[in-house]
Amino acid sequence: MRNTPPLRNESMDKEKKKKLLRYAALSIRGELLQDASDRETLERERRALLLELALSPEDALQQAAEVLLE
Amino acid sequence: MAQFESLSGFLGRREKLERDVSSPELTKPLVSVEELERICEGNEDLQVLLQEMLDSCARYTETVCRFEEIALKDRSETIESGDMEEIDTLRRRTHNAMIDSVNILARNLTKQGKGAPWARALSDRSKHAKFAITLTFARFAEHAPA
Repeated sequence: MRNTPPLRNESMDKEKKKKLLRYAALSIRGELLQDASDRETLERERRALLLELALSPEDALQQAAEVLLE
Repeated sequence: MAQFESLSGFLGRREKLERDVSSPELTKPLVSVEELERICEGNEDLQVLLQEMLDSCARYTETVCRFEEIALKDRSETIESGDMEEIDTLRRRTHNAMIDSVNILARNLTKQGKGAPWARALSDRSKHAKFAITLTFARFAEHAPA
């Protein structure tokens, strides 16, 4: 028999991981892009994700790296 | 009730273990970007090869992030048909390109007598993958825009 709390935690954990990975992908692509207008679009989504995650850019990247390497 | 307490205890221990394992050491690259730049300094060919390798590592890492993000999606979320296959093919292609670029730089560093001891540890695809991911995050984390 499973209880509700772990299920909810797993789900929240997964959401956070997805946001961290999305954030990392956008950050890397933003650095590689030459086109300034494309960068601007990425930047908006990146900042929104950062607010949702409530992390500094450095911590978000560090945690995303840990998700990939865990 | 006893079962719930037991499960809570297990989750608590798991969380503690995750915190203990989580460390900057996990994400430390075999060699720093600064060290590679220092080694290649003054040699235009090596600098070009280094830039190509760094960008190749970044493209691979971005692809892995996108692949893992899709892999984490629930069945309830919409995953476009073919998305997974497409990103997996891209991931394998960028992985091969990244391995080539790392090996080319290492070979040229050795040819120039500068050595590449860090490359000796890259004995298989998974080690190349970890090398690319740690190097890319180290490269971009330092000047992450606020």
